[in-house]
Amino acid sequence: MKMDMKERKFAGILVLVLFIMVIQPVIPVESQQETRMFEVDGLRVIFKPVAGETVGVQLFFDGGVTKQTEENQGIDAFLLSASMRGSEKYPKEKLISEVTKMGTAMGADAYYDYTTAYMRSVKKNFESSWNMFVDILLNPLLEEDEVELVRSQLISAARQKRDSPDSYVVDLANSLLYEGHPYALDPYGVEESLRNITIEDLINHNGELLTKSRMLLVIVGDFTQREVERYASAFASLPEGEEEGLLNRIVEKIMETSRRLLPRTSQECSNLLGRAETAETGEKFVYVPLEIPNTYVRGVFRAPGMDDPDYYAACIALDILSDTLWEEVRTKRNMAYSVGSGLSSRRDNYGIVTVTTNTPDEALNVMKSVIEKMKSEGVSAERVEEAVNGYITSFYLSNEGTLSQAYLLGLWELNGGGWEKSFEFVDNLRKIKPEAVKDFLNTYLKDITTAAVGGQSLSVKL
Amino acid sequence: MKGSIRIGLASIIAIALFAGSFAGSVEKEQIFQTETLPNGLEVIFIENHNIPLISVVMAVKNGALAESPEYDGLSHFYEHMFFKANKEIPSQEEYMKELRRLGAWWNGWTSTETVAYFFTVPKENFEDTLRFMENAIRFPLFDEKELEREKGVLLAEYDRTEADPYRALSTAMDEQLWYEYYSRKNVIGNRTVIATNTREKMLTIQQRYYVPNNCALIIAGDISADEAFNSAESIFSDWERGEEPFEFYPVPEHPPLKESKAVIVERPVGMVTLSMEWQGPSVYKNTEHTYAADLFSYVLNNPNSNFQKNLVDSGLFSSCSISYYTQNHTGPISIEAQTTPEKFYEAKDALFREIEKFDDVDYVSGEEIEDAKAMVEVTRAYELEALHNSFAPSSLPYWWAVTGLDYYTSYVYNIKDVSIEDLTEYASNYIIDKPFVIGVLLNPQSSLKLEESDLI
Repeated sequence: MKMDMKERKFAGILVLVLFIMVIQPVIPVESQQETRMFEVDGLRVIFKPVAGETVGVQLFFDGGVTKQTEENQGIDAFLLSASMRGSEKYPKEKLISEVTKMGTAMGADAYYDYTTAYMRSVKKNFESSWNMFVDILLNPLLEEDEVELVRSQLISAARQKRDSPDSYVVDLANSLLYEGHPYALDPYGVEESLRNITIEDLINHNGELLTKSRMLLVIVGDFTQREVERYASAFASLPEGEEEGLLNRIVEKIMETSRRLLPRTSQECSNLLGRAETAETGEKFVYVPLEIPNTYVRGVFRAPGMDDPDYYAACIALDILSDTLWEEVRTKRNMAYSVGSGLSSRRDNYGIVTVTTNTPDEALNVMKSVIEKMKSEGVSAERVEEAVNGYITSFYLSNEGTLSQAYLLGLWELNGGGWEKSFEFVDNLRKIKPEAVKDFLNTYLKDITTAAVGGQSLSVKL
Repeated sequence: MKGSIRIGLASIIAIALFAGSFAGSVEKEQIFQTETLPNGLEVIFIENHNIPLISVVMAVKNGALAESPEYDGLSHFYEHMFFKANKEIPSQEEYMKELRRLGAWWNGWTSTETVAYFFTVPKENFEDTLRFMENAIRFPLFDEKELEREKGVLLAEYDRTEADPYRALSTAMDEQLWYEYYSRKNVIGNRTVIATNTREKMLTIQQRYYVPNNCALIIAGDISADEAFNSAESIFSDWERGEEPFEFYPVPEHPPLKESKAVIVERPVGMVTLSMEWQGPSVYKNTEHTYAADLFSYVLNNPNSNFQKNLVDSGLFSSCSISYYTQNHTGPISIEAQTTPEKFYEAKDALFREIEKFDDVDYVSGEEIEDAKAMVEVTRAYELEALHNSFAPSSLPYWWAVTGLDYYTSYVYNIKDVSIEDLTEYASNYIIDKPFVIGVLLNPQSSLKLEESDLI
C-alpha cells in the first residue's frame, strides 16, 4: 500500500513531517501559448493541450454557497455526490465496475464560490470515461436508497467537522469572520440542512445547476481542439439559464454583504459556537476551552482577491511574514511546532496568521511584535527577491498533474479575472517592490479576528 | 550498476503501461536508473524534462523500527536537527536563508521504517543543492543550544499529536498490538525521551544509520543521467562506508498477539469510530502475502463489494474500509468504520459476521479481482505524473527503504498473479480467528455506554 506524507487520520499510521504548510497562495499554470478558451454551443470551455498519458477534467458550477441559503446549504455537493451513484444507462454497479477497471476517478468538490465535478483518466480510456461522466451528470437516477446513503455520509462528515482542534479552529474562525455573509454557510452543508433536502429538491436543483451560463468546462490533455469541441458538445442540450453576467452579480452581492458586516457582540459570537457553551467571547475574539495539552490560534483578516492588484503584494508579504514567524516563534524561541501565515483564494478573500502552542500569550506577543515591526520597517528588496524565487518553484510544481492544472485554470477564470492572468502571475510577482509589501501589511493586517481552541486561555489577541 | 537504458519518462510510462504486450520481457517496470557507489550509497535517477525543476532527496533506513525504548522518538528528533547548523552553515537561520536563495521547496519526514529529506529547486541550482544536501546529511553539528531549543518544538508537535482524537485511538490500539516492542512502531516517541535527548544520542544515530550504505540519493527532474550520476559520484564518493546497521542492531520480531484486546477512548467527537487491527505480513519474510493483502483491500473497498454493500449500503456504517500498511517488519491490517451510537451494536455484529466470511472463496468474485488488478496497473501513471510533488520526495523513499526497489518495479506484475485462493489464504493466515485489537472512539456525552467486555 502506498504511503503519503500527510498524517493519516484513520489508518493508525503516523508519518511526521518537519513542518505543516499553511494556506498557500494559488499558483497558476505555466505560460503556454496553446491554452485557449472558446464556446461550444454556449458552454464556456478552457482547453490546455499537454502531452502525456493522463487527462484532467474539471467542470465548474459557478455560485457555490452564494447561491444557497441557510436551509439548503450543501445542496450542490449533495446533488453531485448523489449523481455520481449512477444513471439509467450506467447504473451504479456497472458504473463502478467500469471506472474501476479503467482506473478512472470521478467525484465532486464543494467550495465557497463554486462547485466542481471532476474526472481523471488515462487517455486510452478517456472516451468511455467521458461518456459515463456526462451521462451521470445529465441523467442522474437519484434513487431513494442511494440518496439516503449519500445523505448519511454527508451528515457523518458534518458531525465530524469539529472533531480535531485543527478543523475546529478553522471552522470557528470562518464563522466569525464571515458571520452575516454568504460564506458563513457551509458548502458541504450542516446536519439540519442535509436532513431537510428532499429528492424533489435535488431534482429541481439539477435543473438550476446544470445551466450553461453557470458552467465552465476545463480539459487538460493530449487532444486537438476539434476533439475537445466534440466532447464539450455533449452538454449542448442544456438550457442557457438566466445567469448572464452571473459572476459580476455574485461579486456585487458578496461585496454588499461585506460592507454590512459589523463588529460582533459577545452574544452574537456565542450564537455561533453551538455546543461550545463555555466559550469566552469578545469583539472579534472567541476562545473555546478543550481538554488538550495545547491551544490552536487562528487569526483571520480580509485580504485582496486574486483579481485585485494588491493580490501579488499580499502573496509576497504573507510569505515573508510566514518565514519570519517561523524563525522568531519556532526557531529562536521554540514556542510552537506549527506557526505561519497565508492567503486563501476566495472571491471575497481572507488571510490567516496561525499558531499552535501551549504558551499562547507569549507566542501571540512575539507574533504581534513581528507584524508591527514589518509594518513599520518594511522588508528588504533581497527578501522580496527570495520570496519570488520560492514562488517560481511552487509555480512549476503546480504544473504537475493534469487535474490540478485544470482546477487552477478554472479558478483563475472564475476568481482571478481571467485564465490568461495565470500566465502573468510570475511577471506580476517580479514587479512587486518592498514598498508594496509594506503598504499591504499596513492596509490589510489590522482588525484581525482571533479564534482559539485548546487547553490554555488567552489574554492576548492578534 | 548503472542502468543501460536511458529514455525519457513519457516513454517509460508508456512502457510501464503496455509492458504486458512485450513477449518475453523482464517483468519489471523501467522507471528509473540506479547506480551504487563503492561506498554503498545507492543513487536513483529519474529523468523528466517537463518542468525546469530538480528534486534532490535523501532516503534513510531509519525511523521507529530502529528505536529501543531509550531512543523512542529520536529518529524524528534527528530529522529536525538535519535542518540546523552544519560545518558549512553556522545556524538554522542561515540554513533557511540559503534555502530561500536556492528557491527551494523542502521538507523532511519520519515514519516507522523511513526517514527522508528533500529539496526541490530550479535546475540551475542543482549543484549548489547537492552540496547543500551533502553538508546537511554528513556534517550536522548538533549544536547543544539548538538541540535544547528544538526540544520545545518536538514537544509541541507531540502535543499536537496527542490532541487529535483519532490519533489517541490509534495510539491506544498500537500499544496493545505491538505490546512487546511498542517503541519500534511509535514514531512520535516518548515525551520523557524527547525531553532528555542529548547530543551523544544524536551522534549515536548518525554513526549507526547515517552511513552511505544505509541511504539512497534520489535525483529527479530536468537533468541528464550523466550529469546527475557524475555529480553524485563527485560529491558523495568520499562519504565513508559504515557498518551495516541492521546486522549490528537487528530489529526484533514483534511477537504474535496472545489474545484479543479492547480499548475505549472518549473524546468530544461527532460520530462513533470502530477500529480493528491485526498483525499482518512482513515484506522480508512473507512477500507474496503483501500483494494478496493489497489486492484484498482494493477489492473490499470497492463500493460494489459484498463488504461495502453489507456494511455501508445497508446503512449500518457511514464508511468502512480495510487496509494493509506495507512494512518490512510486520505491517498492520486495519479496519476503520464510522457509525452512530444508535446503530453501534448492530453494526459491530454485522462487521464481525462479515469478517468470518473473509476466507470464503465466494466472498469476492473473479471479476472484482480482475477489475482491481486493472486499476492498479492503470493508476501507476498518475503516481509518476506527480514526480516532484510526491513520487520523488515521498513514495520512492518509502518503497526503497521498506521493500526495496525491485518490489516496487515488479509490483504490478506480482499483483496480476494473485488468485482468489491467495486472498483466502491471506485472510486465513492473518485475520480469521486471529487475535486482534478492537478500539472505539466515542463521545462521553453520547447515549452509547461501552465497556471493554462489550467489544470482544
